[in-house]
Amino acid sequence: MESNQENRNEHALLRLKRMAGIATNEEMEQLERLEQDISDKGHNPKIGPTQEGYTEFESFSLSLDTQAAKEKVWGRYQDHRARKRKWVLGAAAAVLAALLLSSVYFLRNGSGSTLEPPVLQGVVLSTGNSGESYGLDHMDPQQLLTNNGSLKVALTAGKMDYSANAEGLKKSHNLKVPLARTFELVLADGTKVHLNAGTELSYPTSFKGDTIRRVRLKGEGYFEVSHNPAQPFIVEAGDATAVRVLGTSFNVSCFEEEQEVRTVLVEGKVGIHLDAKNYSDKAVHLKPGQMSSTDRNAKTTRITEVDTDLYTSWVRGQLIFQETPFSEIKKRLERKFDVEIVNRVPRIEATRYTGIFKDEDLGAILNVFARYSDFEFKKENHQIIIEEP
Amino acid sequence: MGEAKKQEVRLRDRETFDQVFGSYYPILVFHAVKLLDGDRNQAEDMVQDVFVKILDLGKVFENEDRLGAYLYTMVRNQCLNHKKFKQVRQLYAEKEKASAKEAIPLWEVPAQEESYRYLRDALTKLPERCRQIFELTLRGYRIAEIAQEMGISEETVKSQKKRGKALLREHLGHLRTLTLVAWVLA
Repeated sequence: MESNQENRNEHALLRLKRMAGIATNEEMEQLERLEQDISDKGHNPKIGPTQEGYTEFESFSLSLDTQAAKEKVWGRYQDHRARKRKWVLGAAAAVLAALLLSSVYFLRNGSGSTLEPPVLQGVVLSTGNSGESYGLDHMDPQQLLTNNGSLKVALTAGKMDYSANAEGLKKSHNLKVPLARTFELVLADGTKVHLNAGTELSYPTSFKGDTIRRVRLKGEGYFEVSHNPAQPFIVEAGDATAVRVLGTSFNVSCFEEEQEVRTVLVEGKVGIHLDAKNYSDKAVHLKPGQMSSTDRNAKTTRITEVDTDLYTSWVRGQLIFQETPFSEIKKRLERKFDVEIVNRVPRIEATRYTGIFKDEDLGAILNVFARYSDFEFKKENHQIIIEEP
Repeated sequence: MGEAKKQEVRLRDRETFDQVFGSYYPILVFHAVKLLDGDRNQAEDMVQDVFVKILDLGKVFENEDRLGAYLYTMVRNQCLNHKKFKQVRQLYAEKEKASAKEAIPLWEVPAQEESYRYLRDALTKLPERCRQIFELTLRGYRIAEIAQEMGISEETVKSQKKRGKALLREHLGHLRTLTLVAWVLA
């Protein structure tokens, strides 16, 4: 078995070299001899590294967040150490307390209490693997800086900027935008992301050393990706689509409750992968002004020409509808105004409307539809009820 | 990679840990996913547990090969234990399915997967563009398609590919064999 194993190892290495296209003639001959030998012994010489196998692994490893896992493992180890040290310290303190009737010295080293975390309102940032969360609305930006040492983040109302952190501390952050709000994010590479209401984005605080810039989106985001062909940018939109980008502006919408993931390209070039984890399938490319709609279940993508304004108006706070069915308008209003709309007038569900709203409130907007389609609406607790007159 | 193998490996040294983890984590999870019939989250947990355990124990390895062998073995044993436990719970429900997958003898898997790790490590050492071109090539993209995908000329693709090959030869060429003799085959 031992020599068999050595054979296998040598065999694997030679196949690897052939695969990478760097095997010498001598090594090719050696490989042939070895495969002959292996099959003479009644084994299958085709077992071993293959191009497909490697590609599968390569894709797989791209889909792993190795950096985050690494920090997690190291953090767990540090935790264990700290716990051990605390225990030793605690014992020492007890002895000292008995001697000196005072253990104040050790108490001061305690690393914070374990109170129940408060429920956070507004825009919430979760950092690293320790799962600490911050409500950004009432937060002193210094808090992030001091807590994380070398992390350079600027926080202003409605906007967070990591662009000074290109070379800084690398952590995995997650930002949740509540309903009825939007938020602007500048990532470490200068990429701008506008996040729509009810959206969540996970991203690293720095892309340093990454082969690809990868973010995960749940909800809707408008991306202006900074150009860097050596480090492609990929948006993983739910589990149905990945958008591969070279430097470009586009909108991705992948709310969980919606059947389709939609990507609208404003300028530049993007490729759409159905394999959202490994991107192993061949990309479908979009041209500016095109939209891809990927059906989550059917796993199919269709491409249509669209007016990109329709899909990006939310960035400017506008609502634009063009031949949009009321069922969809309802969802967009619910997100924008954080309400639940109950429609008891089935006849309007499929009615299509066209119009632009700039900064009207919900009442004014619904009024327009009510007058046009002859229905009434009222507010009941947290719901808006639409009824026949 | 090749020359450093003689050295003692202390995983508690942060720099060593970073390097070892970055190199081994993906292939170990890849390996574990197969052993766990595709349960990816479980696989990641298993591999992380193994690393934490080694750190907690403060184990020092004679060289990287020893560490590698230990890692694969630990991961495999953990996965098989986990599966056994699950199988008992499921009252042999999927026993048949599991045994059908044994077409590749277990002891042959590591050689194959180690070679993937070597190649990946070598590829990550290439300049970005070279590496990208190589990866696309391995995926079966042709030169024209690579040029299109990356928005560069075919000439550039060709010259980068050539350069990549030379560099890979440097990284992989000196290897005489995958030194995996230290397998503990439980």
